Parts: sequence; structure tokens; C-alpha cells
Amino acid sequence: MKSSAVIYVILIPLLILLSPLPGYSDHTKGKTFLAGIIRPNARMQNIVDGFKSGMESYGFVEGKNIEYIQPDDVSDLDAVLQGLLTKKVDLLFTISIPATKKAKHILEKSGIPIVFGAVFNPVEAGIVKSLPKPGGNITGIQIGGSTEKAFEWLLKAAPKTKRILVPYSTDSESATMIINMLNTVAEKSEVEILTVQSDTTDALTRELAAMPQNIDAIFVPNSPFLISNLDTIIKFAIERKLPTGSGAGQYKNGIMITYGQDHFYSGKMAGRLAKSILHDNIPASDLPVETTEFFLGVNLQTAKAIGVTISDSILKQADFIAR
Amino acid sequence: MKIKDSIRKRLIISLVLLAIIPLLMLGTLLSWQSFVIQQRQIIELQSEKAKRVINQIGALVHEQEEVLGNALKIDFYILDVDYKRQHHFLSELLTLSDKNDIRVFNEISLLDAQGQELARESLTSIITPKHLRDRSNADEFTLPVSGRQPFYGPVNIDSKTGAPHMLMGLPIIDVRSNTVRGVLTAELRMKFLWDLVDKINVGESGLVYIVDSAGRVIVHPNPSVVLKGTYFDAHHKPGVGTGLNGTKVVLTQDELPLGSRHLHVVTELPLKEALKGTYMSLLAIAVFLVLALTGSVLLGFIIVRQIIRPVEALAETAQAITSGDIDRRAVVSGNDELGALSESFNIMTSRLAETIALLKKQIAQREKAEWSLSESLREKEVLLKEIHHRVKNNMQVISSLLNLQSAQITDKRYARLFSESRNRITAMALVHEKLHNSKDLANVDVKDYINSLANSLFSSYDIGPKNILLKMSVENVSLSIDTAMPCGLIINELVSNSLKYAFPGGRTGEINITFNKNRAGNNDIAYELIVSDNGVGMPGGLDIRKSSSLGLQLVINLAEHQLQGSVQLDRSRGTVFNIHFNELKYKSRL
Repeated sequence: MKSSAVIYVILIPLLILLSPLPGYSDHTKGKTFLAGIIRPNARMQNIVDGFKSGMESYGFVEGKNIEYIQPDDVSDLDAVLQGLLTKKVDLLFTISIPATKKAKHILEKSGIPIVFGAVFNPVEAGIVKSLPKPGGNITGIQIGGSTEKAFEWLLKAAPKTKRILVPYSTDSESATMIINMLNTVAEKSEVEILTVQSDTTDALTRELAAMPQNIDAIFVPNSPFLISNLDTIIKFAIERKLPTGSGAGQYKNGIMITYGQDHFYSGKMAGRLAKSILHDNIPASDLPVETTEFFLGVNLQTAKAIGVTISDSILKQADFIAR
Repeated sequence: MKIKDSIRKRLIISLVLLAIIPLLMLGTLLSWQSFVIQQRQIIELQSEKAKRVINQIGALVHEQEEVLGNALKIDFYILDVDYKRQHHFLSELLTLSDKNDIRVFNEISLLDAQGQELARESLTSIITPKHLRDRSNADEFTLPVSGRQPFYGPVNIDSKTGAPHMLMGLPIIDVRSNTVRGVLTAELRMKFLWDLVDKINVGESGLVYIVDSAGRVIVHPNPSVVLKGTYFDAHHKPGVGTGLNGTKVVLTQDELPLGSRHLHVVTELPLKEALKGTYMSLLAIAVFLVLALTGSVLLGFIIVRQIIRPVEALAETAQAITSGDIDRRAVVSGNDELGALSESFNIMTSRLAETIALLKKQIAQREKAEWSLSESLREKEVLLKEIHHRVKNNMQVISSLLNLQSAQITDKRYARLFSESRNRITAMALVHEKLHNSKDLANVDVKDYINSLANSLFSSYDIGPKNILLKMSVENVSLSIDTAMPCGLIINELVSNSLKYAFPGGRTGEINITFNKNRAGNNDIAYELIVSDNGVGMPGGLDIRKSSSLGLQLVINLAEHQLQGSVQLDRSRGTVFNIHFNELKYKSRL
């Protein structure tokens, strides 16, 4: 027998034995993903940060195996989305109903999955068919459900409130939904709400300036427009010594008391969904829409500026306090 | 010889039967045992893990129960205060959250002893006094009241979020009267357990999840699994089964008792990962098996090389030698027994070759000697033949000389003596002539000889068959010269005597010569010679043994002395001489 024959006698059975050994192949290994991000305004950067943080916790490190394209100017959303489509992004992360709906429309046939980070009631908004089975190639985090309690918390912080100003914008379908809900809640809470529509900063400024004197508080619905104009609202509120509340979780940006999503937390949740799509290869349509957690946030600075004393009980229950 | 069952074939069969098959069987058995043991260990380890998880989860759930219980102990008067304080109490309880700031309860209610809601607080809804309900018939009220134990209800799914909640009910017992004064109900958000199970490692890629009594997954590291409403049959014995995603996994399930309700804690470990260690063990066994098999094959190879091939070479050499290649030698490989055998075989072959060469030489020498002997014999035969021929010629010369001499004798009596002498010489010469013409130069054909002798005598006495008829009855026998010569002389004398005296005056008659061969008692050959005539017969008073006739004296002497036989004379009807004798056995004169 030749020596080569002896080698074959040893090696061939070894190779046969080794072949069925389990292999842990990872289709993401060595690949650098490209993700697009649509952020309507800078005040929502926390969601983006949370998204990136979530992605990083699952191994998608920016600059290493994932690159983000996040245009600063998204005023021409169609052009931005077309650009991302041309660049063949692996995933698109969107915030707000308008951006998500537009993205869904434009990317519908592209096969690019969409994860939305903070959308108020996506079923009613027509973004998904249902929460457990969103359909299409889209999934994400819904933020609806906190408005009623946010309203209640405002009333708890300012118990003497009888009339509440509610500005709203038509930039989002959520405005109508929120207004309808607030009417019901106000009735349940035996308070009166005054809604004012403002689709521009000037209009908002005018409406706030023309605010009736018997207004006891301002409630800010979840709206990209309103959030981007929070400074204006806060300014008027402090001037008029009016407590402010919101279900949009903007206590850090000056609202006195909020009960709603934490942008960073919501973004992080969206990161997990994106990971399921990119790493686990699960179609977005098979990932149920998740509901974000609601947190009670209090801004003591604003409260102090307004002259409201937040009770110890509320502070004890608050998840976040901005001092 | 063609080898049908070679040693190589038998050795390979033996190797396969004694080494390879047992090794394969041993390897298979070890692999199977290793697989079974390791699988059992994996399942046991996983079951242990599941038990620890159950303890953790149970502790966490009971911790929430304890928190509510402690709150009730602190605010033991809560049933007796106004709605506002009760609402505030519930609101504070509702803000309880876990380490990850996840709210533990979705909704909390305070019921009085009749099951009427005194206050209710929700994470998502505003509850006012007019929203309060009568829950006196609900399990979360009746069971804690009757059992005085915490109650855990079925898992419900929040229609707005898809998140599972579990209803709890804690009896509020008055320490003074030891009666149930009310019930605190709470919707426990199973979500607060999601993060816990996410942090529990089952191997590298295994997971833990909880299934409610209806089979719905309510706690899972991946919220999507829960939210999409996944169901799993948790009534599965520990072992290999199909996991949630349809792949083969090692499954364990154990019950998590919560009051009278049981949830199922399931652990899954992908089979590939679970069997990683088993694969390594199997690989080790396989490597050992391959090495052992290789060793066996190599051993077989070495045996073939060291034993079989030399044996085959030796057999081939032996066959070659058998076929005549005597110069063929076996290859001597090594100093072992086979080497010694090959060497001995070669020595034996060498000696055999030497012996064969010697034998060939001896055969050649013998053949040469035989040839010389044969030549010598042939020469002697020629010589003997020549001698017989010369003796016959010389006798014929003597007979002729006597004939010439008798021609000068006028006296008929003397002339007859000469004639008788000539007949005797002729009888003797005739023996030599017959010997000369015989094949072996030693024996005389009796029939031919007697016929020639009788005819010669009839011719000598000028008597034809018209006068005296010669009848012969002679067997085909051969006699040596020593017997034939006296026998011939006896016939010569008796026939001559009949020709001369039996038919006087021209009488006619017949002479009979009979020669028979008989077997004697001692296995010797006995002959019977009868010479008779139907002539006038011999004189009545004649004693043949005392007769002065030379012829009769010769007959008696030759028959009784030389041939050591017997002579009988019957004169009843003519003259009948009956002579019996045996073959003479003379010692070789050489």
C-alpha cells in the first residue's frame, strides 16, 4: 500500500465525520448594511439616537457594519426617499405618520423594509393592517394610548384647571384622532377644551397670543409641527403662567408634565425590530407593531417658572424629573 | 496446484471479522451510548435551568404580590378612607415598575367586601367614580374571599396593544376580626418578565419562554412572538422536539404554579448547539475508531507484508520447483521463523538439487553400465550363437567324416556302427542348430527338434512314410540344452532301434512319439516321453538294463542317470518306451 493510500484511509473518514458538524453561518457576517433615516425635525433626534443605540446593542455598530444616511433637510420628502431608493438602502427608519406613509408609498415595490419609530395609532393612520400582522413590508413602534392619562396627569398637577387650550396641526392624521379623544376625555374629566388649529409657526404664535384669558392650561398633542414649535408654546405658557401637559413625552423640552413615550426608549425598541429584519431575516410584515412604554416626566424648571408646585405624590410617581 | 483458499483471503476475512467489525460495532455502541448519555445530561441541565428560571420568575411574580400585600399592610385602613385617597393609593401602586422602568401593573382595583369597586386606576384610561363596577361575581373577587389566598386568573390579551396581562386578586384581611374585608385586584403586565427571560441564557442561542394554560406564548425574549399571538403545546416531555420556529430543539417544560393556576416555562436549545458536545465526543470516538481501523488495516498490511507475502513467495517458489525449476530459491526476509523456514527451504532445495544431480549422474553411469552389459550380452549371444553354429558345423563335419569313413568300410556291421554314431552326432548337432536358431540361445523348441530329428533318422535309414508312418504328439514346450541333449539322444536311440528292428522284411507300421508336460507334486515340471512302435517287438527275454546294446545302454544311462528319470518298457503291443523325467536344474557354470 502506498503512503498516499494510507493518508486517504485516514483523511476521508475524518472529512466525512467532520462534514455534518453544525456550522453557525451568519449571513450578516462581513456585510456592511446601509440604513436610511427620515427624521422630521431635530427635536426627534432622541428617537434616532435610541434607534442607533438599540442597533449597536445588537451588534450593528455605525461605521463598522452599518452606515446611516440621515438627510438633515427632509422638506422635499419625495426627493429624499427617491435618493435613498437609488442608494438601495437595506432598511429605512422613519418617524411620524406623514414620513412613514410617504415612505411606504414610494418604497412599496422596492423590497426595502420600513421600521417606524414613533407613530400614533398606525392602524387608524392606514400604515399597517393590524398590530399583530402589519402586512406590507413595514412595522414599527406605536405611541398611541397615553393621551388620556397625560391629560389626567395635567389635571393632577394643576387640579384647578377647568379650561384647556389644545393647539393642533393638520400635518398629521393623528391630530384629528387626538382631538376626538381629548373631547371624550375632557367630558369624562369634566373640563372644557379649546382647540386651535395652527399649521404654521406664525399662525401658532397668533393663536397663542390671542388665547382667551380664562385658559387654565395648555395640552400639546403629539404632532411633529407642534413639537418643532415647542419653544413658542412654552414661552407663551410661562408668560401666561399656564401649566403645560402632553402625551408626547417632551418634558425635557419644557413641557411641565408629560405622560407618554420616551423617545430614546422608543427608538431602542425600533432598533430591535430592525435587528430582526437585518440579522434574523424576518420580513417586516411578520413582526408585530409594538407599543412603546409610557413614562411620567416632570419638568420642575417649567413648573417653577409657571409658579406651579408639583405635589410630592406626583414627583414620587414620576419616572423622569427635569430639575 | 491452484490455490483456492489463499491465506491472504482468510486473513483478510479474519481481520474483518475479528478487528474491523468488532471495532465498528464498538464504535457504534460507544457513539450511541455517548449520544444517549450526553442527551440525557443536556436535558437534565436544561431542566435544572428551567427550574432555576421558574424560581426566578416565581420569585419575581410573588415579589409583586408581596409589594401589594405590604402596601395593604401599611395602608391597612385603605377601605375606610375616601375615594380620593383610595384613588391616590392605587395610582401610586400603578407606578410600580421593574428594574427596566417597565410598569408592573396595567390596572388596579379596590373592592369592598361585597365586590363593589371602590376605586380603579389604569395606565391608559381615566377612571372616574361613575366607571366603577360591581365585580361581586367575578373570580378575582369570589375566589380570594372564599380561599383567603391570593388569586391568579387567566392571561388576557390587551386589545389595543396585544400585550398579555394576568389578573391577580389579594384578599384584604382584617387582623382584628380575621375576616375578609375586601379585595385588591391587579392586572399584572407579563411584559415585565420579557426582559427577564431575555437575559436568561440557555446555551448560546437557546431561549426561555412562558406559555399560559391555553398554550399562548405570553413571555418571550422576542416581543414579536408574543404580540403576533403564537401558540405552543407545552405538554411535552423533556427531550428532542420541534421548537417554536419549527426547528429541532432540546425542549424542557416545567410548571410555574401561581395560586391554583399553572403557567408553563419552556426552555429551548437548538439541537445543533445542544449536540455540539456530543458531536465532539462522536468526533473523538470517530477519530479513535478511524485510527483503530487504520491501525487494523496497517496491521493487516504489515501481516500481509511480513507473513503472507513471504508465505506466498515460498509457495510460489515451491510450485516453481515442483514444476522443475530446481534452481529457484525463496527470498529470505527477516530473521524470524519465516526467514528460518525460507532458509531451511532453500537448504532443502539445494540438497534436493544435489541429490537429483547425483542421481542423474548415477543413472547415467548405470545406463552406461547397462549399455555395456547389454553390448557384452549381445556380443556373448553372438558368440554363443556362433559357438552353437560352430559346434553344429563341427559335428556335421564329424558326421561327414564318419560318413566318408564308413564309405570305405565294407563290413556292414561296422558301417552300421558308423551310421549309428553319425545319427547320434546329428542328434546332438541338431540340438545346437535349434539353439542357434532359437531366440534366447538357451532353450530348444521340443516339437521342432523332435520333428527334425525323426525326419533326419527316417532319411538316414532311407525309410519313407509309405513303409513306416511317423506319428507325433508333442506339446509346445521348450527344454534347456542340458535336458534337450540327452532327451534327443534317447529319441535318436529309440526311433533308430524301431527303424532298424521293429519292421523287418519291409513290414509296414508306425512309430509314435509323444511328449507331454505335466506338473509334478513339488511344483517341478515333469515330462513324459513315449516312443512306441507297432512292430515285432523286442525279444522276450531282453532286459534293457542288462542289454549289451549300446543304444539301450545309452537310453538307460541318459534317462535314469543324466535325466534322473525312469524308463518303463511295455511290450504288450509292439514296443512302448515310457520315460518320465524332470527338467534338469543345473547350477550356473559361470
